[in-house]
Amino acid sequence: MDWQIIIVLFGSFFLFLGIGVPISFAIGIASLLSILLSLPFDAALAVISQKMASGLDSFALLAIPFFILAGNIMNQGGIAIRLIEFAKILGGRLPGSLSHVNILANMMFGSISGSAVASAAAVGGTMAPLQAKEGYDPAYSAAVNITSCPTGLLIPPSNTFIIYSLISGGTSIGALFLGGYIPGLLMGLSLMCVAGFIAKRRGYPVSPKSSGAEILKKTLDALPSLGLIIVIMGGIIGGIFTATEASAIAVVYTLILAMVVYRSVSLKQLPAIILESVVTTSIVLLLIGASMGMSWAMANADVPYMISETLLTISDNPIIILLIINIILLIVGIFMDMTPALLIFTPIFFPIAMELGMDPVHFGIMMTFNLAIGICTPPVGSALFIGCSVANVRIDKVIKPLLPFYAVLIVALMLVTFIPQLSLMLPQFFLGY
Amino acid sequence: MNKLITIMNKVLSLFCISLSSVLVLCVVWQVFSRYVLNVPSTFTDEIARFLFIWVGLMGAAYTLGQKRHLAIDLLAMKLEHDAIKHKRLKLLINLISMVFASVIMVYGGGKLMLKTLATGQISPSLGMEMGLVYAAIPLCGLFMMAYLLRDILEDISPDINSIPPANH
Repeated sequence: MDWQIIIVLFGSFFLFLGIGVPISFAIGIASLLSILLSLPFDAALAVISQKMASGLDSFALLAIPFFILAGNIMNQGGIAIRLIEFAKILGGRLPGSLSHVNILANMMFGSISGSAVASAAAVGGTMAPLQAKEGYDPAYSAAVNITSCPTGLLIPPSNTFIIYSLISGGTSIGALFLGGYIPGLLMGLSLMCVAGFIAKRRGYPVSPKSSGAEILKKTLDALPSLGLIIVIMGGIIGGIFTATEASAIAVVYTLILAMVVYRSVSLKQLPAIILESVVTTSIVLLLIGASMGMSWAMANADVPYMISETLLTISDNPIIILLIINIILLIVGIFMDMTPALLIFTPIFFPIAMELGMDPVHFGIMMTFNLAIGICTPPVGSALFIGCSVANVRIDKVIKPLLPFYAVLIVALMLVTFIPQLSLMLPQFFLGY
Repeated sequence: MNKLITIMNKVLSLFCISLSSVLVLCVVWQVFSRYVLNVPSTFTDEIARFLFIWVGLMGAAYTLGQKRHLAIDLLAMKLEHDAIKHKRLKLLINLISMVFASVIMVYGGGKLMLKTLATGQISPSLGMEMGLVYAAIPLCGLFMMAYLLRDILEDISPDINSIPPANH
């Protein structure tokens, strides 16, 4: 192991990051600098560009732009309001009804749109004024919305799992998708427990009962949107198509839904929606390309080996090691967005987890769950920012109401970490994983 | 300069929008041909992968022009009230980004392209020159350099409002 290489790699990376250089550029230059210590200039560059090119050349990656596009079409299509109405039926009779509606709607919308941020904006934006009208503390409502919007990253389809599958060397996307269900539901339900408890203590109102006809109508309204999930997951589980093909079908499905059934998107709006999806995709894509170089640079400097040796000298108890990994990831998540964190830390921790005998699907779900908490924390949290801005609450005001939710999320994270069955049960049952 | 940027924005966005649409059709066709026509198409997999590399990289250049790449902007936010320091920081960030675009994308990617063209490596089912697929990397770098040049000129111009920022 070569300390010099490691110091150059991480030193320059964190320096660039701190200055505010775009993360993908910081990854690329830091990797180049560290590889330069062991290879001549042209050879070092050849490694980076070769890794970038081969990293981007993957059919599995194609699912990412398609799911993003399908999600963006759905976002324009008045889907949020239909899912919120449906969520009112599911959670409308619990204490502090509107909090539960917010959480449930985030679980459904987040799953369909595949984006925590889009979900926090669409669902939270609609729910915040409703809750304010019923006397909910805006900071509390914002906290509920912020912590529940990442549930959709675990409940499939989820681009996060596709990226993990790629960087972990081809973990089954179908198994990851199915495995995400229980941890995602667990995340949502644990938040609902806290929300219900707080709402009861503060005396937040319970919504009136809806009539049978209303229930039927709202369910029928939401069905076409939820049908997308059935098409995608049914197709993948049934072995009818791959995740990438499912994502292309999802685009066609949402197009028909938004343009023909709901008539909420016109042909004229389409180019702007596609362009927006390209932007989101290319941010992720450049990160992936650059990370491939960094992954090589880290392996070249024996970083994964060194970290696993260090961890194993601290303890050879898998429970302690997993705890340490989780703590490191929680700290990383405070400062770094989910995708770069996943891309950088999977190659480091994945070999250790494998050595502990952990299942790759279980490990991926644990990492995703962990980093999902990170996007809700200050100072850098995309969910936190958008949640505060749609609720019109200052970030420092929302910290205190967030604390009980963080606590329950960390408890749920521990359950996901130490009970592999939560992640593996469904893939084993449906896919014989 | 501004005119060039406007044209680049137009060309890149048009390119990405149209190729994305082809990309969707390509994969839908793959499913359709396998299930409905019972003739699994052998070439759509490759076309889709190559189109994706081009759309993604041209999109990455466009995204840089829109200043939308992920970055941690805590320091910039801290310096917001100090216009001169803020400008200097932006200049530093843009110069570092320029190193990435020129050295890694244009020079490194360009060499990869030339080397692949020289060895004549072709894709298995379409017989496509892989060097042409990889050409997207240096081209993306060139577009990035143009956007960064605009930003750097803006950073070093003495008048703060001389060049309007990119539309967000």
